[in-house]
Amino acid sequence: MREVAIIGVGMTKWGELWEKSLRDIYVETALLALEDAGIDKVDSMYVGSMSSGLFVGQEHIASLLADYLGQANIPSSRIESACASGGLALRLGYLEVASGVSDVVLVGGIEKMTDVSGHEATYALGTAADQEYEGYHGMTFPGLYALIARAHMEKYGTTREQLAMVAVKNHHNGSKNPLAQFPFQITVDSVLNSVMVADPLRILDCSPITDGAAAVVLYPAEMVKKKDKPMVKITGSGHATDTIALSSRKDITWLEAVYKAAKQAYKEANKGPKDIDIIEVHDCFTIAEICVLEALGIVEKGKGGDAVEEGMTSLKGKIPVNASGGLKAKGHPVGATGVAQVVEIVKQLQGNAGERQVKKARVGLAQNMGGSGGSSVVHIFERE
Amino acid sequence: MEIPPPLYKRSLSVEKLSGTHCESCDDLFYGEIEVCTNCGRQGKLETIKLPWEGKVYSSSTIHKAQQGFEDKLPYTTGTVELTNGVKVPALFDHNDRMIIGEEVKAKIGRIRKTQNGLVVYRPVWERRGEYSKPKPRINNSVKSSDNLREVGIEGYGVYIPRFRIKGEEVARVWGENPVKSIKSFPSKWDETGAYAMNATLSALKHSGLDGKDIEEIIVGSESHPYAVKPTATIVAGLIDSSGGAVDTEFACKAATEGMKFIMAQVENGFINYGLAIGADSAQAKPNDDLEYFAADGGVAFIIGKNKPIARLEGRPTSYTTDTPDFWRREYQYYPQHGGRFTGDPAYFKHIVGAGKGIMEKAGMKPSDFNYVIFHQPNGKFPFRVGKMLGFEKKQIEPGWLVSKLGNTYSGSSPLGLTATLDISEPGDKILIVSYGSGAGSDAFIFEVTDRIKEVKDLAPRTRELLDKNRNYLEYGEYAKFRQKIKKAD
Repeated sequence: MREVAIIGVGMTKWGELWEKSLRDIYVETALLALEDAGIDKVDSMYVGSMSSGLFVGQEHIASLLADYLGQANIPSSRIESACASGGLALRLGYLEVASGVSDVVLVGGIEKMTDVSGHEATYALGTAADQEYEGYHGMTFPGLYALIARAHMEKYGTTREQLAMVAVKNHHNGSKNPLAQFPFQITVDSVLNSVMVADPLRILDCSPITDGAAAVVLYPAEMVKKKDKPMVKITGSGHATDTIALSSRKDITWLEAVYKAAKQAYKEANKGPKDIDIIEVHDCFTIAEICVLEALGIVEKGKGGDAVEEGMTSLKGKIPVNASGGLKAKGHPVGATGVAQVVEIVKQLQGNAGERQVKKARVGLAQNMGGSGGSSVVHIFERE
Repeated sequence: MEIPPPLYKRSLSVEKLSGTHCESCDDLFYGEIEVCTNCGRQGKLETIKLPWEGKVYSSSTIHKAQQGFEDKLPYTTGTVELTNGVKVPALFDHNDRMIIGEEVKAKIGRIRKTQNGLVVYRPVWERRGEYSKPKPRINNSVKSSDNLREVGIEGYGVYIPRFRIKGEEVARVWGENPVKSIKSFPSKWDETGAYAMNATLSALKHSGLDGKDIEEIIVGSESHPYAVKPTATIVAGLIDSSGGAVDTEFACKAATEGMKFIMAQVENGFINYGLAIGADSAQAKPNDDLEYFAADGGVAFIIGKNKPIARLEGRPTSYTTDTPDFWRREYQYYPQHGGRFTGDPAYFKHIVGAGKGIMEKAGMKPSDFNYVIFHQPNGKFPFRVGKMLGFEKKQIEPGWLVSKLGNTYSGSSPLGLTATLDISEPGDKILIVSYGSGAGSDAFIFEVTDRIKEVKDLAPRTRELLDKNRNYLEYGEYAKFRQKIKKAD
C-alpha cells in the first residue's frame, strides 16, 4: 500500500444557491481543488451524493459531473451511504490510490437540496432510515435522533442545556468561517426557545438544508514534488455499518458503527484518541455530536454532554471539535459533508484556517455518519 | 413519492406484530427475517406472534410530519420494548411526552391512507394505566352449560374511543340553546374498521376462542372504510379467519341484522361460530340535530351453540316498512333526515311493532323481563317507547348509555346489551329491540346462563370503558379528529 497525500482542496460558499444548478456547484468547487493541486487531468473520480434523484430528479451524476468537468471518458463513480456518502467516497478514492490502481483521484461530494420544498426534503432525508418500518410508522429523521436524545438523557443525565451548548459552540466556530451557511452566533436561550421539531429537539438542534459541494485531490505521497505547502497524508481509514432501524439495536445511545470505524482507523494510523489534536464530527443533530465523541473514545460513555459543557471541545479547549462550525453552522449538503470535513482538517493542519485556526494541530480526525448511525466512516490525517 | 409498506405485508391491511425466533441461539427479532443476526444462515428460524404489551423504550412527539402524517400533527412515535424484550417501532395514542419505562398496550388504529386509497391499520400504543388488566382465563370448560346446545352469545367485546364532547360545547359553537348530552368521538387513529377489530380482539379473549374458529363475519355499519371492499375482510385478515365475510348496511340496525344472519347459520349447522359486529363513526352534518348525539364505538358478538353466556329464546322478530326518515345517497357526505318525522311514524312505530310481536310470539309480558334495551338515538326516546310497551325505567336504565356515549348508530342497542350482560345474573331475561331508519326493527330475547359468572372479567366492561377512560375536548379538536376540516389541495 502506498501512502496517500491530499494535494488540493476546494470548497465554495454554502447556502441556498438558487441561482446555481447541481452541475454548476460541483464544477466550480472541483475546479478550486484542481487549481489548488495544480492538476488538469485526473485518472479517476468519486462523487458522494445521497439523493440527487429525489432532490433534483437526476441520477447517473458520476458521468454527468465528469463530463461537465472536462474529464469525460475517465472512470467516475457515484457513492451513496446516506449522509456518509462523502466520507465513503474519500475512503474508496484513498484505497484506489493506495493500491496503485490510480495516481490522481478527485473525490467530491455534492447535494443540491433546496430545489424541493422543506416537506419533500424531509421525505428524501427520511429515506436514510428504515422506510418500511420506521418511516411507515410516521418516524422522521429528527424523530430518530430525538429518541436517541431522550434515551441518553434518561440513561446518563445529559441535560437539555448541554444539547444546546453543542449548537452554541458550533455556531461560535461557524461565525469565523466565511464559507458557512449560517456564520452567526446563537445562545443557549435561543436554542431552548426555538421551534420544536421532534421533542426534545428544536430547530436550532438540527443541521440545516443546504446546497453545496466540496472536493479534494488525492495523490501518492511518494510522488509529491511540489513542497510549497505542508503535506497532509491520510494515515488511517475505517468504515463500518450498523442496523439501519434504531429499534433493532440493543442500546440506541451507543453508535457501534462509529466505534468500529474508529477502531479500524486508529489501528491503521497507529494512533489513539489521545493523539488527536482536532476533530470534525457529524453533528447532524446536537445529540449526535455527544454520542459520536463517546463512540470515538474521546470521552467516556455518557460523558459527551459534560465535555461540551466544560469547554473541552471548544476552539480553545483540549480537543477542538467542529472548528469549521460543523454541520450545524456550516450547513449540511448531505453528500458533500464528509468531504468538507476533510477540507477543514487539511486547512487546519496546513495552518490555513484563518480566524478559527487551531494552534499546533498536527493530527486530525474526521467522522462522517449515515442515517441514525447505520453507517460511519472515520479518517485520520497527519501533517508531515 | 410514497413510503412502501413492509414487503411481506404488502397484501395485508393490518400488521399483527409478527417476529422471528431463532431456535439455534434463542434470540428474538421484530419482523419476519430470513437470516439470523447472530447465527447467520445456519440459524433455524420460526415466525412467531409478538405480545401486544410492553413499555416505552424511547419516544418523541413529532411536530414536522413524515409524509402522509400531516393531518396527524402533532403525533408521538418511538420505540416500545415488548414484554419479551423485542423492540418495535411504535405510534402512540397520546400527544404528551411518554415516560420512558411506562407500561403500554397496543390496539388497532388507522394510521394512513395510501396514495391509491387503501386504508392501512397498524398497532397504536396507549397507556396501560388507563385500563384495569383483564383477568387471565383460568378454566375454559363450563359443566353446567355443556348440555345446552342452543344458539346464543358466546362472548362479546367493546371498543369506545376515549374522547368526549359535551352538547353544551357543540351548542356554544353554533349559538344554539345548550343541549344536555355527551358523546364519544375518534382520536386521530380511530375509525370504524379499527373499532370493529378492537372489539373483535376483546370478544375473542372473552370467549376463549381463536380467530381461526370463526367461520363467518358480518360487520354492520353506516360508515364502512370502503364503499367497495367489506370491512369484514379486514377483520378476517386480522384474526386469520378464512370463512365467509360480508358487510351490512341498515342505518342503526345493521349489526342486529348481522346477528340474525349469524344465528341462523349457527342454528342450522352451517357454521359452529360466527362473529357479528356493529361499528360506527357516526356521521352527522355540522350544526344538525344529529351532531349532538352521533358518536363513535364498536361492539362484537361471537355467536355459537357450544357454551353460550346468553342463549336466544325463540326466534328473533323483525318489523320493516319503507319509511324515508334518514338516508344518504352515494357521494353525499352527510346523511339527511326527516326531522320530527323520525319519531312517531318511524322510531316508535317500528320498535313497538317488533317489541309487541316478539313478546306475543313468546307469550311473555314486560314484567317477565329483568332488562330491556331499545335503540338510543337520544336520551328520551328509549324511555318513551318503553312506557308505550309497558316497561319500567329500572328495566331500561342498565343498558341506557346514550347520556354518556351518544348514539353509536350500528353499535347503539348492541352496546346497551353488553352493558346489561356485564351486570346480569344467571336466569335473567333480556329483551333487545334495535331500530334502523329507513326503516325497521329487530327484536331478540335472551336468557342469561351460568357461564356469565365465569367470563365477566375476561374483557373490559362496557361501563368501565365509558366511565374510566375519557377526555373531554373542545369543538376545535373534535372537528380536527372527526376530519371535518378540509384542507385545499
